[in-house]
Amino acid sequence: MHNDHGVVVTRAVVSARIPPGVCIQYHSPERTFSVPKSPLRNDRRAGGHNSLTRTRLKPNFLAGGYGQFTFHFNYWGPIGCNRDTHILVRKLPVLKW
Amino acid sequence: MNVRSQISMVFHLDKCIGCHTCSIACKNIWTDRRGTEYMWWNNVETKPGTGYPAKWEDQEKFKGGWEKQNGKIRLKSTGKGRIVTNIFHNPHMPSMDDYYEPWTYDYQHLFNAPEGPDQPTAKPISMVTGDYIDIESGPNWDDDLGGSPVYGKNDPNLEGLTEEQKLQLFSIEQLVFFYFPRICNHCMNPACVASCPSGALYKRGEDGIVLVDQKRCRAWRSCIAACPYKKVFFNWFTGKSEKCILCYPRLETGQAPACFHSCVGRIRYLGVVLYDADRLEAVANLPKEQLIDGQRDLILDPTDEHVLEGARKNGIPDSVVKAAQESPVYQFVKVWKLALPPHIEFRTLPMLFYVPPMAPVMANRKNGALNSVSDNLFHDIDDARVPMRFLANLFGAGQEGKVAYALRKQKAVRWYRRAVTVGDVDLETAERMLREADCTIKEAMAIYELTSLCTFEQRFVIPPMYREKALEALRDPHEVKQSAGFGFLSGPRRGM
Repeated sequence: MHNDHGVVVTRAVVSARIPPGVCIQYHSPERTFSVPKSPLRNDRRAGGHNSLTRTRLKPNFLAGGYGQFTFHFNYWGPIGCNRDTHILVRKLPVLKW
Repeated sequence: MNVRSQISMVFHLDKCIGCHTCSIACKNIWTDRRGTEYMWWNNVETKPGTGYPAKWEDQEKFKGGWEKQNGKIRLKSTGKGRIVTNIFHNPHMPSMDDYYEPWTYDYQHLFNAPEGPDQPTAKPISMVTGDYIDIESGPNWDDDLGGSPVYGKNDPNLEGLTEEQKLQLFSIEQLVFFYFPRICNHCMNPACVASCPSGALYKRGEDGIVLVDQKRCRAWRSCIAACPYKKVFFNWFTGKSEKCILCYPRLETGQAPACFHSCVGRIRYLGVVLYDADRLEAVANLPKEQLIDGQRDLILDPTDEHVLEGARKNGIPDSVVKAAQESPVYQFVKVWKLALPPHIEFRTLPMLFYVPPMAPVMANRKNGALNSVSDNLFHDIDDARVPMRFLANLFGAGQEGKVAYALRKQKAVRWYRRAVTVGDVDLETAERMLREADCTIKEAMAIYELTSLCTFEQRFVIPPMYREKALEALRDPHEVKQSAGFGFLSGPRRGM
């Protein structure tokens, strides 16, 4: 999956639950395990940690000093509607670790 | 009359949220050992779906369970004459491809990787060979994929559906799926027990739990082929078969089995039922459409004087009879007829029953407009998004009537409670629905209590097991847990 923001390599399933032209991903997988390299990134490992798009901060996200903006496995990102975006989905041509 | 007692179970599918907590609870206690990585004594499937192992319900492929032949029942998979020819290769045995190759990740690589231009990643490695693998399937590979043309479409229960119904199951906003948690059914007429040439499998006398004697098992694996639910597994490390033990060490100390105890949706019920073993063979031999009633008939009324006398004669303790009288399973299966056996046509007479799930709220579509008003109060059951035929193939031995009865009663109870607590349905209509669904107000209240308000003690009625009277109780069952599992009195050893 890629757009101007970046590239995410992940497993995908096809289901009649999702309308044509839409894909849903709740989180980006952690690059820490099982994420192959992407030719779209010049053979570097694609993907980020959980936030699919760039995290755009609003001041109220910073309130409380919670862990979501500190790096950790499975950290919180911003709410879902912040992540809605246009992407292209392509099958990974070659599996490269 | 030959009265036996059995610990029996009900899973209320209308409450299952598909969280897999049961599977994880079981995995952590029992199958975290070498050789058992691929085993899921408890698993949760999405229906329609292919399940685990893939297409286990297809007995043309796996030859599990019993079949009728010349007026008698015989095992589909094996027999005295056939076992020799299949010693080295049984074509109907599930292989690792039918389950999945268990894997972990090479986490050490994250620490040991040489310096490079990119962040290292832990690649998947097989837990059998230790080599790097590409993950191609898993125990829960088709989770939530009811509407998929690859998984949902291959469900054997779709047989007999019209093309229109099939099409609906795979179109957006029409498709439907539900969860189907499975453990060993601890059947009344277990095919695994009957198939074992070594006599290693047995049904425990006091509570009917089906177990594999780890000392007597000789790795014939007949049980794996014979079990139509594919709930006996082969431990490739010890060379012995293993299966769900209904957490008998927990039951013996008055605790609910781990999957029952941990269930988030509280869908699971456990209790004693008394049954008549004398008529068992005759019932297993009945025509397909009489099997559900036949099995219900085998379950005896624990308040009947003759039954109590028979129980005493067979040495069933009074405390077990008392547990049978308070059993939630007896209510769901025999009294209310809400819970149905899965695939009873395999003729093993499973002792785990399922309350079929209600369909999603359904509105009538008239000229493109949604219209939820209908003269027929049960219209959403008759035109449910889960086709009745599908549920009937799964729970009713093909009879839609049995499933419809259970769903109509559930719906009537819901509407009655809605009339009482919300008041937007008039009481008269609700009571009419109860009558049409063969239910009284008293029964509706009892169903409501045991479905929605049930306490831990109401869901799990566990009698004392009197293990102090058993010889094994004197040995420490923890001794070899790490290598063989709880309750095994010696370590694993291959061969004779």
